[in-house]
Amino acid sequence: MISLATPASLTQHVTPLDAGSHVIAAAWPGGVPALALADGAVMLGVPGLQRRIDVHGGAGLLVAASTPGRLVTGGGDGRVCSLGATGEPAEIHRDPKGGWIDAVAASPTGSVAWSIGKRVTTCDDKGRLKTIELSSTAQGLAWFPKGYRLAIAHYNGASLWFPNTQTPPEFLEWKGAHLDVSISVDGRFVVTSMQELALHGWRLPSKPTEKVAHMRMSG
Amino acid sequence: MSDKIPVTVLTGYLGAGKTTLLNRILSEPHGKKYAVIVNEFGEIGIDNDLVVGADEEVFEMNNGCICCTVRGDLIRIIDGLMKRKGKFDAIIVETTGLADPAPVAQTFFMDQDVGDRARLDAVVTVADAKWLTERLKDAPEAKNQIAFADVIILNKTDLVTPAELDAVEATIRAINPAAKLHRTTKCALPIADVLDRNAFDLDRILDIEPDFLEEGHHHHHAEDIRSMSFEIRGDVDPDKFMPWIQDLTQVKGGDILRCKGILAFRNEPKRFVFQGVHMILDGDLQRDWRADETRVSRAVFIGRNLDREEIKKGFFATAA
Ligand SMILES: [Zn+2]
Repeated sequence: MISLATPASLTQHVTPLDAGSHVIAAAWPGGVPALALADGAVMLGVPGLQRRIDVHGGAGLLVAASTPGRLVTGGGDGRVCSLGATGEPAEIHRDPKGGWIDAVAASPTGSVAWSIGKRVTTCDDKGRLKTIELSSTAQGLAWFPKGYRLAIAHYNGASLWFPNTQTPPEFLEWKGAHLDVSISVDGRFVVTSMQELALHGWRLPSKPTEKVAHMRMSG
Repeated sequence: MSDKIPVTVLTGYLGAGKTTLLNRILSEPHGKKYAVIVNEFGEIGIDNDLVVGADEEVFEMNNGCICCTVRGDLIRIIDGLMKRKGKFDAIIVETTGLADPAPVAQTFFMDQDVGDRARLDAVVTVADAKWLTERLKDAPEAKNQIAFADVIILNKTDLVTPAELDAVEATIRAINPAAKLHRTTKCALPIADVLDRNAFDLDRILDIEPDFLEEGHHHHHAEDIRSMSFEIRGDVDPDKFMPWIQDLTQVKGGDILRCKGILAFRNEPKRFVFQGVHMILDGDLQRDWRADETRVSRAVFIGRNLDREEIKKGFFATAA
């Protein structure tokens, strides 16, 4: 008789977890599993050894972004916080008016960006803050790979902004409401999701003679 | 649909008493918890984690039509609130005096995520008895707010004479004959008259007052927003009615602010109830016609530049 080894099932390695609240994001800051929860807490640690860390309290945790090193959260309390493997939350910023943090983005290079309504703020690894005001609400944020340039999705297009220069943001126009944005790993493509069931993409020029090219993806 | 969170939209021109009403709703002991979407922080005197600032950002949809709009901020905020479901019983959206209620209402029909999780309970408009007539002359927003209302609170009635009050009520009725109207001072009325109205629930859509049908109709030609209501004594043919109403709302959608109706379809024991906001139409078969009810088909249209004779002819041509 030939015995066939039973193939290992992936489900044997799955541990169900009851987070007790809507999960906004899952991340591995410093290699430790972390769940960002809508009730304002972060659940940190391996199953059985978890801790609930209250980050935003009753105002709720609204948005989160992560890098290999940390989890960055934005709350209904107007605060942006960062949390690493130790679970000690550090406040990056506190909005004096306590407005909802609508979007947050984090770059592995240490830059963080967030928005409240039309105002977008960045904080680099040295803690320097830069702010711009857009003509419509910033719906989604994404850093280019090097962490120097930020893409912002908004009504009627996306803006590409270098926070450390005086140059006004480059405007990529496309009519409609753009809800979120992501950047390809080579930094050449910007793709937004839209209020209509569609994605819109832009290919950025790689040399001065090239023009921005559009990609329409409706579904 | 019962697990959808009810949303009450509070409109009214500046100074009419919206904030008074909101503070009353939030401070009275009714045992309910509300999430409140406001425009100006600090105007409401209640400390609440669930008070959110909004910017009334209107998105036009990408179909090139200016009447197809949604409130982008509302989509974002309702999405954020729904992740904390269980912490509140209902949502109240306060709009500024200059806001057009149409995009707010359309958001519940045009954004699937919002429509799946929340339902528009009623548009409640607070009107100032002393100044409304003036505002209707110079502020198109004030007219839209009256036209859109399911509930109208005619406030500050102590500042006008009984004759003036009747006159302003007649003006309101010329624009919107189908809303529930309450006369108040300091917005004092039972909260149940404002919240959980189910006015957008098709089964409970307000019955159209016969007084406002055709002959009883008030003619205030000074208003560019008019309401018109028609009644067919008997059934309509759905194969004629559906294409007609779809075509009408496609062509005239920009001018039709709202439409509502209850119809008797030929060979159909249930009442067909429909309503629309601009081009968006929603309709469904609801409860059976009761034995003591006469099968009649009624429709109301509220809008600008509507040709009454043309709509009347079109509607009557759908009779079975
Ligand atoms: Zn339209």
